[in-house]
Amino acid sequence: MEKCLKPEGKVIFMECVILAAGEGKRMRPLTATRPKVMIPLVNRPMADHLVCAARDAGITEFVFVVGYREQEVRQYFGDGSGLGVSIRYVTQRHQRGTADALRAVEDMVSGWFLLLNGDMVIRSQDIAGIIKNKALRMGLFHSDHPEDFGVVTLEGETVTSLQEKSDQPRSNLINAGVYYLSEEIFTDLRSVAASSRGEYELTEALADMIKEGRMAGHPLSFWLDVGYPWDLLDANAALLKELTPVSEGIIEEGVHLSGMVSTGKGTVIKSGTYIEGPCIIGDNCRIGPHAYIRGATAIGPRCHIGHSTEIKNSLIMEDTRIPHFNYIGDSVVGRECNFGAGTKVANLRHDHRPVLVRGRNTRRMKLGAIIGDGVRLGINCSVNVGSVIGSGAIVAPHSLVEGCIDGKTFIR
Amino acid sequence: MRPLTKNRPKALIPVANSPIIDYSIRALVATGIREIIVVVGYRKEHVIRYLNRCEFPIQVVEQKNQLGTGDALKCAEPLVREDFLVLPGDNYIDAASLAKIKDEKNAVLVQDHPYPSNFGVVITKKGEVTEIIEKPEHAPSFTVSTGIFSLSKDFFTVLKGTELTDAVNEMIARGGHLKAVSTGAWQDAVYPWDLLALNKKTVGGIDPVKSGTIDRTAVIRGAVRIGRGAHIGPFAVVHGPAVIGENARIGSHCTIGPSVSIGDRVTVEPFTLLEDSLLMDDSSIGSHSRVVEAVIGEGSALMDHTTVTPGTPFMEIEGTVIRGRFGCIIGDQVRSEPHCIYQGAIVGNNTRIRGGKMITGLDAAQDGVVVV
Repeated sequence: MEKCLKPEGKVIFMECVILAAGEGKRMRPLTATRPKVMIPLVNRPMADHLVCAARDAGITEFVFVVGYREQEVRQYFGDGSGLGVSIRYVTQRHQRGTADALRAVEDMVSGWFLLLNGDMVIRSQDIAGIIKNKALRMGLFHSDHPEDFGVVTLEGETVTSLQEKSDQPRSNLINAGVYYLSEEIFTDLRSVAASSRGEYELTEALADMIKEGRMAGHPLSFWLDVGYPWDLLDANAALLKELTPVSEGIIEEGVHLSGMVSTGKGTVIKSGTYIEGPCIIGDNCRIGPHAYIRGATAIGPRCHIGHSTEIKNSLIMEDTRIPHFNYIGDSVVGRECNFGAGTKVANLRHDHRPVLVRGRNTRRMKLGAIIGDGVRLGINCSVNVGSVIGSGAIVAPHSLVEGCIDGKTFIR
Repeated sequence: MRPLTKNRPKALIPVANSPIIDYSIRALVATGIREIIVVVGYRKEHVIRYLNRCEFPIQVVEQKNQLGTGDALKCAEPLVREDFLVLPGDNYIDAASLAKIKDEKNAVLVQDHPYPSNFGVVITKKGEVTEIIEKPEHAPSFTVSTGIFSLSKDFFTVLKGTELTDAVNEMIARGGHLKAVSTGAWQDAVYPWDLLALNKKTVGGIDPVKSGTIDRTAVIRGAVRIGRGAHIGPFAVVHGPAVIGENARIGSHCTIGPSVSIGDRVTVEPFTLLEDSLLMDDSSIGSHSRVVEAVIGEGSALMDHTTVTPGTPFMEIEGTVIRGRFGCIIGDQVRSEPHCIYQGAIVGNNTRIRGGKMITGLDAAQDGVVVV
């Protein structure tokens, strides 16, 4: 995958702790082989976007709390030199909540530090605003559905209360999971007891600081939370808008490109292909001939999108082959999948109701399928709206796929 | 509950492929209660083995003799540190109901029941319980106690006898309050056929997932959970809600559901219809059978052309004559040869039924008999 390479602006000596240990159960099956923070958006893992945003705000020292599938994180980031930063790791053996994760870094950070949940996207300007002077501060964001998050109430700039996720949220200002803290937090962490979910929540450790009126709120200009797989599509589209395109691929004669189209090294776009941006295509892909790709789409490295295949508003991870007569819309497809000729994914209900995934309302009128890694679909399969296909599932030709299919299921 | 409780305590009878006690534990966890003490006694090793598989530690205390619910609670006294909930481990309850009484000091969950005489009947005045009458011959009301209480730690001072109800009445007599909170979710199983209702309730709440090997011509409708390694044959039709266990094999052209639970490693041969039934692990049903409203114990085999059809037999169980409606209740390790018919029948454990028999009521209710 591509990485963002150039640090910008001045350097501030400060540590940034990124919580990247969770599996992200709600993201299944995409988290079968990677932790949630390694799910790619515009061909870079979520955590890569976060590190770059913090780096561009001047931070160069990072501590990652890793756990579930930590090897994926360690291999991708290494010591951080590839991104022009320094990264150290600490392993949280059991994922027992954010307070427990932060406890794991007690010996590694000192003074003031920035704490980021690994599973979101924010801008460097907002980070710069949060760390501008040494005072307790947390990032807030206006949400249209605050019932899905912890919310805070503000008086002027001071946070007056923090409410856990509730059906009756007291405000629409949600806790974004961005905190500027000093090492005193480690004392408060010691007294945190397990919550009703059986986890040690960081928010409980903050309760005293909030009660004493010492915690300030900082509204963020931009914030993307990716809780469920379909949120990836919105996050991907939002990030594509800001992408600076590169054109490193070979574009044959008779290819039509409109809007922002970025192509990676070694990629070939063959004749008759029509691409409407915004769209990013990774390195070493083979696209076309006669493929039709519509925005907002991200296609990972080494993918093959072949003849008469249409892809729209989707996220396709590396090494996946969608080679002939396929349609994929509003879907997330894992790595190393193979689509048989003529296999299509439906993305709209004809009764015009929002698509449900495992009984949950996605609030989306259009949503295709969430497909894990290494899924192999035979020729002429029909995948219904809102399907979830687990990693390694194999589907025989001419099958109808709907509902939730577990990993390694065989439909024959 | 015989024959099903001969080999396992009632709390471990599986419905929708999870032991009954699992639903109580899940409801507690969902309500935010994680300090759980389980009082075990009858066939305790089964319960302990099950509890050891839970994700978080559960404390276990043993009740040496099964004297009564009050005695059972007394066994847990040394481990109880603050106000607490008491639940019977062999009933179904949901988290929403527990949440209603969790923060009340002294409350009981109550529910209306058409046959209140089997339970503790609750007399209330302005939402406060004035008395609980245990299993009265003539019930003065239809409101019964679910046996689920929220109590304060000092309740142990009135807990003298062996019955929890006596202690509750004693507490009220001494001027203590007990709030009656109604629920609609509770389900008890007094007679074995009550398991069918319990099964219907629990199988309706499953999270649908398909797994194993499924033929592409199979039709799967509604909420169906299929376990790992299961095999669904060509042209099988599964109507949810239904749950099919791990490594189960459903033959071609079977019709399954709605409200069917099929345990692990169960075999259903081709051309068989199953409806509103509970098949425990390792059981099997022969081809061309029709099985409706049946509970089939572990490892039992009904061979081909079996018919199970609902009946309403009169039965004398523990001295009282009762009438239930069900197809059959079959114990563990039963072998039933081809072409048998069951109508409202209870069949004991390890029983053998020769081919072509018609069984109703308590004809074959004893364990280990051969019906020729």
